[in-house]
Amino acid sequence: MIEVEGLTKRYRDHVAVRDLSFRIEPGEVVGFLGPNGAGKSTTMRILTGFIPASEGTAKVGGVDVFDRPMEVKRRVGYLPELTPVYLDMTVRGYLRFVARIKGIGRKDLGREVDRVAEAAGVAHVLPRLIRNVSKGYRQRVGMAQALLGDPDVLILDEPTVGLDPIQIEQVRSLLRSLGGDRRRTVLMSTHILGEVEAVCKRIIMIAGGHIVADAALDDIEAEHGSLERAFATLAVAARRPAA
Amino acid sequence: MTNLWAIARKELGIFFTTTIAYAGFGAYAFLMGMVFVSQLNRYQQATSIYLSRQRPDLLEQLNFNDSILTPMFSSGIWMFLFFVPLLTMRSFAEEKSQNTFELLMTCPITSWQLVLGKFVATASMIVVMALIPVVFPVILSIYGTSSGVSVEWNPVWSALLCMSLMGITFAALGLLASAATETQLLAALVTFALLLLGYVMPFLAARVEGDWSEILTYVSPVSHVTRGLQGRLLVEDLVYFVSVSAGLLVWTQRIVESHRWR
Repeated sequence: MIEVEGLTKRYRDHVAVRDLSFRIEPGEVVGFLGPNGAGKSTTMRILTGFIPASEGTAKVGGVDVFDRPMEVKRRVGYLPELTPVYLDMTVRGYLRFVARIKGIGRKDLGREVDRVAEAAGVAHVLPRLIRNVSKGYRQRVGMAQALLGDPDVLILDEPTVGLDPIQIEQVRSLLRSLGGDRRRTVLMSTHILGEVEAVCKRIIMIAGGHIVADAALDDIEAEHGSLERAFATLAVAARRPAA
Repeated sequence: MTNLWAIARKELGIFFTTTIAYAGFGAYAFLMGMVFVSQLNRYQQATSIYLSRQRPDLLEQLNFNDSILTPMFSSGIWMFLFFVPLLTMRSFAEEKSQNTFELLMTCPITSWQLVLGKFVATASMIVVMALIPVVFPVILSIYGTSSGVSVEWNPVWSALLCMSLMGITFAALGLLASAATETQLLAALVTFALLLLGYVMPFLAARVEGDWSEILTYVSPVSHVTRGLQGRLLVEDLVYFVSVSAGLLVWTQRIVESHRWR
C-alpha cells in the first residue's frame, strides 16, 4: 500500500511537485503518467527514500518514509529511471550483491537470484559482464534487481525504456503477473500510453507537478474518448499552472 | 556487518575485474624495483670506492637499511601521491555517474556501512600496495649476505607499518574527495592536490618561523612517516594517522548522508 498526503518538493525557487495526494491499495497496478519533467521521477524518489520531501507525508505499507526509511527500503523494490548497474560486474555478481545488501540470507541467495533472473528473462546472460550485454538486457537486469526479496511494493520508473517490442511484451506480461498478486502494490511511471492500457487498470496523471487525473482507466477513456486525448487535454491544460 | 562486507566485497571484485588493480600494483612494483636497483648500484659503488681507498671505518658504516631500504621507502611515499588518487577516485564518483548511487541509497543500508565498506576495500588495496616492497629486503637477505652485512628486519617492519598507515589515511582522503565530487577525474585531481599540499608542507615549514613552522610540520603526513621509515616508531605518529583517518571518514559519512536531506 502507498499513501501520499500533501507531498511537495521544492528545489530553491523551483517546485517539482506540489501538494500530491493519492492512495494505492494492495493488488493494484497503477500507471503514473505525465509529460517529461512533470515530477514523476521526483515523486518516486521521495517514495523510495532517495530524496526528502519539502512538505507532506508518504507512507509505504503503513510505514512513514521519513520516520523509518530503513523499514520502507526493506519493503520496496525500486527500478530508477536510469538503470543502476555496475558495468564491470557480471549479471550474477550484480544480482548477488544487491540481494546481499537487501538482507537476503546466504542460504536463499542463489535460489533468489535464479528466480528473479528467470522472471526478468536474464537467466541466460547471468555469467556475462553487464558491460557486454545490450541495453535491453541491462534494463531487465535492473528489473530483476527490483524483484529481489519479493517486495510487497514495486516502484518502477519507466520499466520498458530501451526494450525492443518482444522484450516490451515480456516485461508487460511480467508486470501483469506481478499485479495479479493480491498483496502487491505496483506503481509504474511511463509516458508510453499503450503501456498503461496494456498493464494498468488505474492511472494517476500528473503535469506541472500537480495531479490532473486519478481514476480508473475505463472511466478516463469513457470521459475523454481515448487515453491519448485525455493526456493531451489534461497535460497541456496543466502545463502553465496558475501560481 | 553483512552489508559492510557486501560493499567491500563488491568494491574488491571491481578492482580485480577492471585493470585498476593490476595496473596500479604492476606500475608501483616496477617503479619501486627501479629505485631499488639504483640504490643497490650506489651501494656497490660506495663499497668499491671505500675498498679502493682502504677506509674500513666508512665501510663498516655501510648497511642495507640506511643505504638501500630507507631511501627506497622514502621514494615510495612520493609514488603514493600518484597511485592513491588512481585507486580511490572511482569509489563514490563512479556510483554517481553510473546511477548506482541511487540504488545504494534506496537499499536498506546505512551511510556508515557504505562508507566503511568502501574504506575497507580501498584501504586494503593500498595496504597490499604498500607491502609490495617487502620483496626487496627479502632479496637482499637471500642474495646479499655473502658480504657479511645483513638486513635488519625491525626497521623494515616499522617502515612497512608506517607506509600502510599513511596509505590508509590517504585512502580516507581519497574517499572524501570522491564523495564530494561528481566525476572521477575531479576526484583524482582534488586528492592529488591535497596530497601534494601535504607533501610540500615540510618545505614550507623550513621557510617560515616559529609556531607556523611547527604547525606545518605537524600537519604534514610526511613528517610522521619519515621517522617510521628510519625505524623509529612513535605513538604520536600512529595517533596522527589513526585520528586523521577517523576524522576524514566521519566527514565522508556526513557528505554521503547529506544526499538524503537535499
